[in-house]
This record gives sequence, structure tokens and C-alpha cells, in this order.
Amino acid sequence: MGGCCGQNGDVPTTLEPVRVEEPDVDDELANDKPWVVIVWNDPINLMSYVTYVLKSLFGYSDDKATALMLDVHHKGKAAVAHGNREEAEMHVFRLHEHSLWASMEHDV
Amino acid sequence: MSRPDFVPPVERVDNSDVDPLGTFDDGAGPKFRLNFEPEERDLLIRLLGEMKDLLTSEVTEATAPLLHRLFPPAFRDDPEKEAEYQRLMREELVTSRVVSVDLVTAMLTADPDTGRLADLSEPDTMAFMQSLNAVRLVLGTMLDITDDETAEQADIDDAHEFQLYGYLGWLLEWTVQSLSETA
Repeated sequence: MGGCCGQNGDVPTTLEPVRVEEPDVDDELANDKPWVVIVWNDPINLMSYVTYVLKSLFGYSDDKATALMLDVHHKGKAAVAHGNREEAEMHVFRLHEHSLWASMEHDV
Repeated sequence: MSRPDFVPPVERVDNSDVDPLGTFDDGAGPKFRLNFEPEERDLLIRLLGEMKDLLTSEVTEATAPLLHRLFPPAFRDDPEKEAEYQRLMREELVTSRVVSVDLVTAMLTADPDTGRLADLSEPDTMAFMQSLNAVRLVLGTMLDITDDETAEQADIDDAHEFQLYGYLGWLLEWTVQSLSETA
């Protein structure tokens, strides 16, 4: 996970740009705006399994992982992690590896 | 989510209790021993093989819901970003699952000389848990377990497939508890 797309922006490669390409504003914002990783409830995954996965992937305490698992169970979903897009995608990927029903969206 | 109503029989083996033959030195973390009957190993190996076939199969009407559950969308409301995620991550996710299935299949294959399974490290046991969970997830999806009501129904239905689903849940709970105790 390298440090691409930092906030310093693009370094100009020429002093005489004939035409400046407008950066994709949406993508630029997407890179900077925080993302939230959501785990959704599902009727198959065991409660103990979900708790264990949250502990082992995020290093959460037993109490925190259990509280998040119960939020998923009772409220239908829980925000389990936050980060920039790259970090959030990695979290989602690892949750998908463990068959948890995870997705990500912009933090509001 | 569901919670099975049983206390699984856990046998966790510390390094000190492991037969010195064929084990690593201590300091390598806890070891786990799978006490399976040969028919249980065969069953799990067969289920893992079926899942491997599914992972690498074309999307059909029959496999679409199963693959959707194994590879759920990362971006629910953004088709463009979702397409990008699938393009970048899907293959990696398939590979990761296949590698895990192969590893676990090897774990369940008895040593031809001793007829026994090798004791497992913690990461091995986590891979076992992960693949077992995926197999159970696929079976549960095939059995249309879509909400808490159907999940409860599955607990009392004694058709063969539901018994298998129950068995996998029992085994998974056993594995999770066993791993949790070492944490």
C-alpha cells in the first residue's frame, strides 16, 4: 500500500502547459474523504465467528468486537472501520475473504 | 447471524502435550489437532472440492446467487467503483479462496504412514475456519437461509442437507472457540 495520490497534488512536468486537464474532482475528493467500512447482518454467519474475525482482522478487544457484532445482529449493520479509500478497500477485501457481508461508503 | 445451542468439544493441544515426533519447537505458538473420523475427512474434502469447482465456474442461473454471496459488492450504490473493485480484486479473492481450500484439503489428508492428520498451527487453523465457514455459507445459501426465521427453521429441519448444515455449524463453532481460547 504505497503512498500514491497524496495531498501535494501533481507535480507539473512542463512549465508551458497549453491545456490544463481538469482533475477528476469526484475522484480527488474520493481519495481524501474518509470512508467507512460496513458489515451487514446475514442469517448464516455465526455470531462467534463474526466476533472472532473482527478481533483478528482489526485487533479489537473482545468487548469491542462483541459490541460491533451485536450491532450488526440487532441493527442490521455496523461501521467496523474507517479510512481512506485504499485502506477501506483492503478492509473490505479481507472481510470478503472471511465471507462477511461487507461494503464501503463515504463517511458522513 | 445465528448461534448454535451446543457446547462443542474442544481439544486444544499445547506444544508440550504434542508428541515430539513431527512437531516444531515450542515458541511457535499453539498447535491444534483435528480428531476426525475418516468419513468426516472425506466429507469435508468433497465439500471443499465442490466449493473449488464453484469458485472457478462460470456464472449460471444456479451459481449466480452462490457466487454473489461469496463475492458480495464492495460499493453498493456506485456501479462504476464496484466494477473497478471487481476488476481489481475479484481474481485475487478467487485465488485467495482457492489457495485456502487447497491448504485445508492437504490438512485433512492423513499421513499415509501414520494414518493421522498433522497437528495444525494457529494460521492453519484459521485457514481451516475460513474455508469451513465458506462451505457452510454456500450450503446455507443453497438452502435458502435468508433471514432469522429460515435460520431457526434450519435448526429443526432434519432433512439430510439441514443436518449437514448443522454439522458444519457445530464444527465451525468448535473451531472458533478453540481459536478464541488461545487469543
